[in-house]
Amino acid sequence: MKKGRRFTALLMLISAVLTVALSGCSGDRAGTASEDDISDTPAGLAINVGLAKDLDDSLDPHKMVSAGTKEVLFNVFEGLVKPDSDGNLIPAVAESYKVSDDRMSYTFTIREGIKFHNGDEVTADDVIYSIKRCAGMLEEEPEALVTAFSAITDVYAEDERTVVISIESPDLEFISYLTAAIIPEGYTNQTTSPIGTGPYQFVSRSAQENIVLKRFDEYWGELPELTDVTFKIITQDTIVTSLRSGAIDMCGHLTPAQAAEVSGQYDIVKGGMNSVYGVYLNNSIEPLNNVEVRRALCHAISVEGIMDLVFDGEGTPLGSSMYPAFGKYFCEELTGYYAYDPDKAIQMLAEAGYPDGFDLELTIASNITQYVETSQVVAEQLKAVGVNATITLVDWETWLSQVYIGRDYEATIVDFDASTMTARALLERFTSGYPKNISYFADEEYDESYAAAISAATDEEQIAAYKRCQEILTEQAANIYLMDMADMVAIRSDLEGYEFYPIFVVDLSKIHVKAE
Amino acid sequence: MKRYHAYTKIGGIISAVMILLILIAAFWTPYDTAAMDSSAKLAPPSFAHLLGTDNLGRDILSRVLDGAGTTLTIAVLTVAAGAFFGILIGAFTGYYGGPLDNILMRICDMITAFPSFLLALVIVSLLGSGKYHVVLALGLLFIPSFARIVRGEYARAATQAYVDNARLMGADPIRILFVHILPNIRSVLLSSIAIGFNNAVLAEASMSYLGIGVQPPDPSLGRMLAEAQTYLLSAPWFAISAGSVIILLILGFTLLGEGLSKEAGRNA
Repeated sequence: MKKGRRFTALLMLISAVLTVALSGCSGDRAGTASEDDISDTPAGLAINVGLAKDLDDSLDPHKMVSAGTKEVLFNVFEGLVKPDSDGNLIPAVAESYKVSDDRMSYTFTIREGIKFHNGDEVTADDVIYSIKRCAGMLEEEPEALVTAFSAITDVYAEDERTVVISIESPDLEFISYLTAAIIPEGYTNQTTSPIGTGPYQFVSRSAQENIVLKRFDEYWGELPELTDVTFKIITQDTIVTSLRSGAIDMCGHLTPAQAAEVSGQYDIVKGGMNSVYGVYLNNSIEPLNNVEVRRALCHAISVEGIMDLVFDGEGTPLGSSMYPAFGKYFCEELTGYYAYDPDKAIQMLAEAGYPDGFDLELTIASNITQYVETSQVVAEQLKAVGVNATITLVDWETWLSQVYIGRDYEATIVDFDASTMTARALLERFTSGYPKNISYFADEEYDESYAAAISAATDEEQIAAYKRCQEILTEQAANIYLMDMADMVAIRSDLEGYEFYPIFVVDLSKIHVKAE
Repeated sequence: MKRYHAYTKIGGIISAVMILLILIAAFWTPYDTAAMDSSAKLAPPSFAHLLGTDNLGRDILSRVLDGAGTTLTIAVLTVAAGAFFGILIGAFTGYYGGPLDNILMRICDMITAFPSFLLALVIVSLLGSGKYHVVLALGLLFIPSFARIVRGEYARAATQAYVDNARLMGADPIRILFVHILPNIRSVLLSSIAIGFNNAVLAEASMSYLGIGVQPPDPSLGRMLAEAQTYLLSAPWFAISAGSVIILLILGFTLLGEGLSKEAGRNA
């Protein structure tokens, strides 16, 4: 009995020490599998990429929600056209396309000999099926998966390699939406075993652990150098230790502090995250339904303070729902619209009827370090003006279902990316009828302005209307817009070629070994 | 004069110092635990910040003491809940036996059969994370182990002469259970409380480390460890401070428990 106790005591001590010592060792579970991959393909170049984000349960390219899924599947799927790193659209599944004079009909010529990962050639039927599926024109998918596609009136094959898409009214941005993935007709396993036409094909996936891709050797374009890529799902806390130990060779979205920790061992590539990072507010609940309260909160937040504390001063402050990579649509003058002024915030809150502040719950996805750290700074800054902000950490799935889909929350911190190179992708989410309008933002002028932008006949008109939308978001303080975060990518020092896209993706096909 | 075992003395001193520091921290800390300073991020230990600062420029000493307070509160509440219900269940089932004993012990078996951490995860994901949900989850998990130990002791005591005497004198059963028997099993109870306490400290730290325990900005030792691992090499004081406080808390109470049970063994 006595000996047993002493043993227990010893165990306690050891486990306490281990808690400290082993805290760096989690997240390496898939290590052995990748070593096998290397030995199987001696001539290939296999790397492990860390992914500190959870993926959607489904890998269906038309239904993905999480940025992590988009990042991975960008390499597996292609649309008729696809974006390049400068934000231009380049032909992909279609080798060329023509727009009719009235800009209501698009004619695509399918690339000759292009194949799906299962070896089948891409036919006009596959293209029509994919477009109809996104447009909600199939019986099994009655809802439009891409809202811009609800404008499609007809899709038909002119001949075996020619597909015509007609839309009900001219739309300057319509072509950008044709990046929607082309998938084989009638293939029902996209959710678990996706098949597309991209440079990489899906091999396997282990939920919350990894997703394995390999090069598609019959790809129509230039074959990439990397032959095998394993995305390992890790937590943000273990990025640095995973890189240090060599468990992963590359990882994106490091905080500047994390990047500094590994900068000696890895090359660091720096770019913009290309997303709108902000404190998103539920405009439908008390007291956030009062525009003066929201404006007061904007004055209470110091973007500079957040940048200094969390991002080592890196990043580009934003004033509305648009980031600089969008060039012509970006309104720089909205940045700093609400100057940091806590005294003014206190006064405004008092005038709005909240002299003693109020309680505010920040619901934060716990798997993203940036969110968690920012939330603590935001909570401090809000406390300074009397708003008692509490932080509730939830896992990513809960955040998606409760905040993003359920819209049942008070305030949250997140960054929204654009899934296509259109201003619409960033601004549609604040129209009053949009189902994922997590701010419940409803403003008549905004809806009108947005509608005007969509149906604009010229570029100038469209830019003006989209800029007006941004101004309204800022003036109405729909949300507290913070910044476009700096994106730091750590990459093994013998590799190069990482390219930043204006949308949120990782292009594996460009990564190659440095020339000696 | 009663002589204390060396373990009791050392453990007592460590625990007393820790509890004293934590009590002081409950009313006063060198810095506000949430106050951030962008000019002093990850500063090494100095006279201004005895244990350095963390990645948001917050004073680590203030945070570990406050975090230890949170951990201690959770551990005390957890053990109190576990011990209270455990003693209650163990006393009745051990003393009376019978079908109720069987049923309750099988329920305890069922709870013990689950991996305890998994069960805590289930409870927290049903109720949401947070300090008091952790207490609830852990408290529930601690009941069976206490109940089992106490039941064994009561079953043994029920056949002993002093209990028979009390019964023959017509003492009330409740009085027999809690006035006659309970003091006689205190040594077993005290050491299992010490062990339970250590388990609770570790369990809370692990849950917070995984992000389902104490929520930021409230400091917690487990969360601090999770945050510190990014800076393990460039700012080792961050992880070492949080880790050492966990070790000291556990070491103190383990030695105390060990010492007490040795003394009980010597006196018997």
